[in-house]
Amino acid sequence: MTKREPSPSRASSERAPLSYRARLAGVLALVAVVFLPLLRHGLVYDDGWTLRSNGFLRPGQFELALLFSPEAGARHVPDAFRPTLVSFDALSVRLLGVEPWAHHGLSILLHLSVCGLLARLLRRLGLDESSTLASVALFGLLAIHAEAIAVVSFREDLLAAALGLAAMLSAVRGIQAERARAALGWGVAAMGLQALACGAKLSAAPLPGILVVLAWLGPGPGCAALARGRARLLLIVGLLAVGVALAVAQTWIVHGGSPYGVDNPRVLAQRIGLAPVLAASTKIHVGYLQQILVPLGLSPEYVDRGAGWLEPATLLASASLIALLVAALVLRRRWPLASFAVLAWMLASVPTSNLIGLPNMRADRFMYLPSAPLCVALAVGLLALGRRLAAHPAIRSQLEFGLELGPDPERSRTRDDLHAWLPLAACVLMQGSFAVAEARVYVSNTTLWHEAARRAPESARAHALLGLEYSGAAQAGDHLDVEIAAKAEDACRVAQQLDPLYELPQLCLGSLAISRKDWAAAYEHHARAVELSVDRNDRPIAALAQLALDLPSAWLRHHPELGDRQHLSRSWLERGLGAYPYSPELHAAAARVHHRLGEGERAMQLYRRARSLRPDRWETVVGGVELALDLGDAAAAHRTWWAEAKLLERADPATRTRLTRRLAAARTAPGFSLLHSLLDPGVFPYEP
Amino acid sequence: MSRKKFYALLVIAALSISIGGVACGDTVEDLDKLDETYGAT
Repeated sequence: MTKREPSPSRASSERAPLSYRARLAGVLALVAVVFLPLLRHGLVYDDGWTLRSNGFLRPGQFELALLFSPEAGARHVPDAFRPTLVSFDALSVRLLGVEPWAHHGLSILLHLSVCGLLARLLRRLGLDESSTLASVALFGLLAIHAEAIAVVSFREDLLAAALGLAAMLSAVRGIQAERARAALGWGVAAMGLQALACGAKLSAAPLPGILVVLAWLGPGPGCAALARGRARLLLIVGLLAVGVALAVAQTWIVHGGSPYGVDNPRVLAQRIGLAPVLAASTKIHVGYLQQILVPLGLSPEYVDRGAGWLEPATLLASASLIALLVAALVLRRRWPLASFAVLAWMLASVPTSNLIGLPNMRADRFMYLPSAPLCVALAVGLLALGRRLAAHPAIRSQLEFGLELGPDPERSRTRDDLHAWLPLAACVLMQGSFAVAEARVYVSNTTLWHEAARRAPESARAHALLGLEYSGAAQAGDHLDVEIAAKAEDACRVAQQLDPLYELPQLCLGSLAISRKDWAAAYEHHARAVELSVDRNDRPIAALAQLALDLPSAWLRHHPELGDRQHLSRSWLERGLGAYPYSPELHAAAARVHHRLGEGERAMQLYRRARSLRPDRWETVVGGVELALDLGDAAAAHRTWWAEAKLLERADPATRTRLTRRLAAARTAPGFSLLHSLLDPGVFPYEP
Repeated sequence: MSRKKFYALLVIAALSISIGGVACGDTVEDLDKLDETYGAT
């Protein structure tokens, strides 16, 4: 039997060089495969606030017009100052629900879109194919991007980058267009895309400035056309600036200034002033540069702290940044690409440079878009280094000896080509490995906050949120695991010592007190948390309204200003429901309070509202079924119990057993009819 | 570069990054007991 020879046409197609598109698809596939393990991750960090418990995103609740009025701020719509992001989230929740794997898949797709748009822009600016592919590979696998890709709620950075790069692409096409009408069309498209990008996150705001630097330095062959017509350039940059202004105007309308509030204690500059924050910011930016080049010291958490301008570390960092700026300006003709990379990075870092107060002074995700120009310069530099090394006689002979290659000119060319890629490949493999390792930190909240507390031991937030995780884990039904509760208390106390004016340690201690059934302590801690916090008070208020009904008489006697339990509970609910109309947890808590007070109709109304705000929450369904049983509507209770069987599988065993017994008892009542129950619309007849 | 060689290099790169990812990290993964948390920022 003879071995079949491959047909000549097949053999030649296998040997034929791959097209640029095929190689780009291959690089994007590599990036996708590397981040594929994210599909098993849960929802972490702010995902609960922005996605899962954000009732505004649900069908029937989302109103686009609301995002352009002060009412969005008044109703505490999460991220109301990012209308593009909120609209994108509402659409994604409608299409994908709140399944974590689907949203992680969407984040990976967004990252791939950013990589694809970066490639398109670089080609449009005249960068050669190899340098474009190298830049995309490095940007796609850069370790500092792990946080932005791994945390669903940080897709604001991915969305802003994708739309911003699309705006840049339109702007470049507008400048390069031959006819004025086409130029105007591309310019208007760029303006719209820029407004949308800044509506996702204002990190895209410096792009008009970056376009000016691009035209000035002309780092690529395609950039020459950008500077040819100054009027055209000014028009397009002006249109991009209008896009930025539109997004800023939306923020102004919704929040009347800073989206974080003018006196938010979470913004460190409000507590210690801007000067020490900016001094610390110089060190932070040198740190960013180091992490982009060598991905050591990445962390899900950094402690906000100020610095003195005369401290040696601040002086060194400031001198480094100034030296970098001067070098970029002086060497702009000799190394235009490197100069552009430095200047563009500096410009792109402005929105997160702490000039305007942010609740986090430092985060890995802040470098998502600013790292792009650095990646391009670094990739081009590494390719040049590789070509130089491959051409060096000593290294060349060593590599030839090592690979034992013959004199075939085809193989020799391939070998030279491969050698030129070696430094870049080493860098990409290192970055990718650290990206995979860093992404694993975000697998769950427990892992995330455990790692955050380990890497930033002075972070009150990390310890408080770790304590909250422990506190939740300590309780299983009525049983309290004393050992885990003690770990929770340690974490809460550390957090409180680190920042006595922070609401999260109070919530941590309050949650632990609830686990221990110490209602008075729980009430005091939650009340203190509401006092300290400027936003996100819906859950503490929900807890306070319920705790008010359980306060011991002796404790109430010492606080006559609070009035009686019912009055206290109702006043918390009135405050909370007015301020947080899209909070499912608060509406469910309000329903429970009215249920306990014997106001069945109002309780049912609130359970239905809570259900429409978050259909995937089993606690709301359980509350509705129990209320129906208490109201004597066994048919509705049974219908909902059957219809929601899959959701109720997630309920804890004690709750399921209690409900099963109650339903069984209801079936023994003389008026119960199985057929009636099957035909009943159930507790939640109007499904969202 | 031929098609086969390019795909082989991509597979090698993906495997190297996976192995490198295990070697570079020391995170101990733990699953959440709760399905919701307070926001962090």
